[in-house]
Amino acid sequence: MESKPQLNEWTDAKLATLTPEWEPNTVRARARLNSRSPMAMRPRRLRFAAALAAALVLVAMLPATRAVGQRIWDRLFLTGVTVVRVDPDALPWSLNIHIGQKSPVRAETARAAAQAAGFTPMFPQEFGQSPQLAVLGPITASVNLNARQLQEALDKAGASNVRARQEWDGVKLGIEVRPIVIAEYPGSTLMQMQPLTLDAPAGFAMSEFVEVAFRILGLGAGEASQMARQFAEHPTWFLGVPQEDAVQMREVRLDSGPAMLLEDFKEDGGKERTTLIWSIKDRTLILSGDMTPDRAVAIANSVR
Amino acid sequence: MITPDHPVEDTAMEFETIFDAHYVRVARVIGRIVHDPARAEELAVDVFWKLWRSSTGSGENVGAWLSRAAVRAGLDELRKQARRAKYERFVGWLLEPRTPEALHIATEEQLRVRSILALLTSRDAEMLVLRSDGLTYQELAQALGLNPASIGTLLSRAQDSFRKEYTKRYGI
Repeated sequence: MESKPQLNEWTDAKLATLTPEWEPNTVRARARLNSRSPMAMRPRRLRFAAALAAALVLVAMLPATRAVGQRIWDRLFLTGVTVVRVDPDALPWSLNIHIGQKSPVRAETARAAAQAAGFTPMFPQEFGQSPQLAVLGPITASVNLNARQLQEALDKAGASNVRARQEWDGVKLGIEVRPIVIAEYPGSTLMQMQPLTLDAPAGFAMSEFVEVAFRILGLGAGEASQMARQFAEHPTWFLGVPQEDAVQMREVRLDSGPAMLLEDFKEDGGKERTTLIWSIKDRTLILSGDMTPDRAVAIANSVR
Repeated sequence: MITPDHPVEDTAMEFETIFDAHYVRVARVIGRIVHDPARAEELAVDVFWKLWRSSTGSGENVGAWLSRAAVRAGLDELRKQARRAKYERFVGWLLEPRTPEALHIATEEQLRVRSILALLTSRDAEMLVLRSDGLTYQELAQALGLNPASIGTLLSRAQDSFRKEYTKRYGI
């Protein structure tokens, strides 16, 4: 058994590794205080939104014929998730993002989470215990297209026979992610969200734009065309997983229908995480954590 | 801090004095817990902003209040980061931008120690961080509102919990 001095010495040594090697800047801090603007309110330049950017690609998959009547905007509801092995960072645009709150906000009860999110969350019966709940969002974002950058990206992707239309220059595409309910259980997390909405100007040549975007992402002409057709029939949220990521993907069957199973692996080949993504009529659910695929399916099937 | 018998000018000067005396320490306490120096400084400013807006009095209590507020701000941030990491793949684009200072990689040991702090009870983590920042038993008791006579026992328990969690996850 370890003596108290030994324990003292051991913990002191561990915690000593956290001693900062930098000096706080008092002048900068005073300026911040004097401006009376807490940093939590400072506008932030957000990182490129890979998943969101990819979703914005799909806004363009709407057939142009949807732009009818007197509407200035088309609004599309994405009722599922499609996982594709591409790197959305290849898309030549950045996003302007507005987030309701930058971190998830704790909800003490399911009712409180429902009130904050605007829909009633569902929970797995398999766990037999209440989760810790939090709500994230809503989030709105927009992107302004730049025809020259699109063409450059096409050329870089080796699709120089495809042209980006000049009239796309300055076109604004928008997305809204409504609040996401996050339920944390020991070793796993369940997220659920209502369909994302995507907005684009009426009359925008979406199908053509979609193919362009997927060519930029590295898909061949046939694949890009197929993705566009698939989306036109069943619009979904697109989740890009770069090829270099050590992830195995396969479709599995749940009681409620098909689901996508992702298994992340560490560099040493060990399993890091299992993720299951599926959609029912009014929401998409994402279950992620340290569990076997069978366990993930059992948990998903117990969601009520 | 502003009270009817405490003029605004005096209060502002007093606040300046407090800021000068404590800012560096507060920022460094948070910097022990939060890897990103820029974020630690932001949180330190938030702590002083709260102090300015609160009715916390001056004198000896301010140092204790600041210690407590600093360690709690740091641990709250650490836990938020731990939560966010779980679903980074899906909503990672919501994460804050990385500042140049944050781009250098924390050592593996730092990551381990911080991950254990995020798991401990708030009181245990607060005691360990503040103790490692050099607070005496008396100062710890003041900062955390505990009986000075019980600090030794509570600190030993906190160390024990830290050791057990660390060993369970990472071995010796």
